Amino acid sequence: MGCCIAIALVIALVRKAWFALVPGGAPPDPMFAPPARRNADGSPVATRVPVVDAVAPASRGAICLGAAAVTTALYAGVVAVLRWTGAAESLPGAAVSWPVRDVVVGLIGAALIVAAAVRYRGGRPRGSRAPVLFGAGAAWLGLGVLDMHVLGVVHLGHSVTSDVLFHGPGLLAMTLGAGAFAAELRRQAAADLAVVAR
Amino acid sequence: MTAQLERDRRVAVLLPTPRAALPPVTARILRRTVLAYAVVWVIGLLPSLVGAGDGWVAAGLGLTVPGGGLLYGGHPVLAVVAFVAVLVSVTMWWSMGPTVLPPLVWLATAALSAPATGDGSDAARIVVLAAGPAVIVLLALVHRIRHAGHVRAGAKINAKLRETEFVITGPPGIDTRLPVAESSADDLARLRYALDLALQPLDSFDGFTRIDQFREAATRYQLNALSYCLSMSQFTRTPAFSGYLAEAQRNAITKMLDRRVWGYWALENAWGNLDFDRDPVGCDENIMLTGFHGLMVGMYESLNDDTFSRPGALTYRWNDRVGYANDFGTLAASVHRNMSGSAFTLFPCEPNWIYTVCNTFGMSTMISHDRLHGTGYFAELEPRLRQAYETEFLRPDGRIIGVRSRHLGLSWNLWAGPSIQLTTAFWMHAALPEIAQRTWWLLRESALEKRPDKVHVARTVSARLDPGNYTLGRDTYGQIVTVMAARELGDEEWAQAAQRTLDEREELAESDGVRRYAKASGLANLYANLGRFGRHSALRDLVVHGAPDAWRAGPVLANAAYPDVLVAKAVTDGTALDLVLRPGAGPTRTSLHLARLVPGRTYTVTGALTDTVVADPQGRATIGVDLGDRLEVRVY
Repeated sequence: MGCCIAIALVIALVRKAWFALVPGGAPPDPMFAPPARRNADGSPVATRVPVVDAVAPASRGAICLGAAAVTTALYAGVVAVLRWTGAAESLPGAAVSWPVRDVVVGLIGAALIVAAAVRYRGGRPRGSRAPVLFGAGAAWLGLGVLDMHVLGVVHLGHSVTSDVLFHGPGLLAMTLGAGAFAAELRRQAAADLAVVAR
Repeated sequence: MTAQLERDRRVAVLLPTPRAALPPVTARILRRTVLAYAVVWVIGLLPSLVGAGDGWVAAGLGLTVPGGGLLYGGHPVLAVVAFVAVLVSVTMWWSMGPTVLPPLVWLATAALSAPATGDGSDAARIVVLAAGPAVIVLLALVHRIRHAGHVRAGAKINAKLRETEFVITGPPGIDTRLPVAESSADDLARLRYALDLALQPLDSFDGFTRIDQFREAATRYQLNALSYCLSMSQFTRTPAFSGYLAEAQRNAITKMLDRRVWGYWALENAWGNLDFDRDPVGCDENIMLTGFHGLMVGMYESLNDDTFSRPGALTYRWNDRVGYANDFGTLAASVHRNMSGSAFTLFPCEPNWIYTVCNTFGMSTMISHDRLHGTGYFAELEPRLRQAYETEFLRPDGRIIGVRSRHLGLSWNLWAGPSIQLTTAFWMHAALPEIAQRTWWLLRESALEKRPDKVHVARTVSARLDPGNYTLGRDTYGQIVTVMAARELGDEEWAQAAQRTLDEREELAESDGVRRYAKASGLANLYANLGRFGRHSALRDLVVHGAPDAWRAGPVLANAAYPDVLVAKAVTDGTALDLVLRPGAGPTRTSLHLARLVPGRTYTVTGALTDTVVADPQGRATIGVDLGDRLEVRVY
């Protein structure tokens, strides 16, 4: 319609930059609809050519990466709150300063978003629970290990319980995701066997 | 023709002289915005005043300016990141309506600055606290300076406008502006592009651009343009043909009810208004659906039947259990209710954002409903609407303000080229023809140039934008909307020059006799058809005056095979039916189904396989034709 050329222009510039960076370029604009036909009395003629949707279902990888990106944002927020409330300490002898760590986490989040977008092919696949759980769990666990044990910027006291509480949700989500994925594979194998048997 | 000239009015239309630097409603809302910011600023200042810890001070400063707390804490790079994040969130708000996003992001950046703070810098604190008020003062100064310039420009323009007369067309006579034109073979090939899109199954959207459902490339805008161009072709070329042309319009209207098309509102209402009601009509926004869909129905009903005025005929179905039953009447009533209740009279598309062009569709919806169903919606609101368009949404130099924030009162015309002014002039011609004429005249004076037989659109980045698929290229879309506006506003010379520009340089794509511009979006192609099938005051005549009684009562070609029979012209004087047909799939012997004949009457037929035909008790008859090339058929 063109009700706001300015915002459409912003979108155009973002898309132009995006497709310049991302391999594959912009998807082609469709040219024509399938030819329609009507009989002389106005009734439709069944001539519809099945059009294969050019958009493949989203890959599980894209869903997994997307979940990891969302979890990264969530994780950053939780750690900020923990630090503010004093539940987590900033260690004086940390390998890097907090601003550097924030930039690292931000870059990880951005990289995950880009990777998810590159792999995304449209649609929503069946059985997205497994990649969501796995991606979210891996991100939480990985970022926690990075902050506490690699960069050494976060310390939650000396309690094993607090460590388990902090890392545990990530580990649990990863395990559940892997389990769900295994169950899907089993169901798929059973379905394939049933088809073969028929 | 003399009678026609008597019905037309000649008027001078001056630009209004503003009484203040800001129009009244905008000024009131802007004052409220500044006051709200002042409250936030004071809250942000409090931690500094009471000597709270650095974390609290940083969070407070983060409230006064995005990233202010991070700057105070010694993180200038992160401060810039935070500021950019808030800017991005504002852009997202602008594009998709999530009103909650900017405050959330702003609050989040303020909250995150608390733990990240080191030893706070007093110099940074002063800079941050001064920044917000300084920007407000600066913006006010810039506005004053620009406004003064616009007032001076407006005075110069008015000197010319005093010497200029605009023709405001009155009701057309059936023998004056209404003579029906004949489509050329090229016209018909372009029309087939629209017909094929519309005649596919209702749940199919093959051939439509699919990028997003929020902005200009959304499917709904393609359906709107599809329906409008089909209606326009029926009005100016084939008013006595319903058949597949009417079916195609019905399909476009019905496709709008598909959740994939209107479901965006559930999201926008949730994140824009924190309202989880999905009803797309029973809200005080979303004119981008109600106004546009209403006009589709108004144009269809003016030429065909009242299918969509029946209760529940427009049910926006969410799922098997939930649907929002509407009809033409409820759409028009919704537009009227929302305009009545809006301080600006114009009301928003996306939550908060009021677009001037979108409200022109709402006006046309009310006008066509008033004419067809005897309501008085537009007459009641016309003075307020005219006032709003002439004050709140017009710069003193005559430029229409494209968008304004309902909550904040802010507006901007960043990068806005002539396309949006052209589009607004076209769609406004039905309801407020004086402003439309003046806008077109101003565009001709400033943004467009004819050299000597082509149109040159001002070189701006936005003039190279095709909003139908967000691509930057040539000014194809600008040329297309120039054809639309020039033709509608009676400047046929300009319309032909713009059409010539397109014809000579645009690459065509063709498939099975269907033709379109290869490098323009689907939306642009459909608007190209709207311009192609337009004529002087066609939109105004259709919306304001409708079809003459003779067209609504006389015989029609009710059905014909598609694409075997392409109808280049179909018109009735109330008694006879005149057709011009062309083959669309090679030479063929086929039948034509006629309706609205006088039951039992024997009609003389020329151009068909029989010389006479007798209408059945329902007023119907069928005649056969051999269609090898252009064929004239007359039934009388």
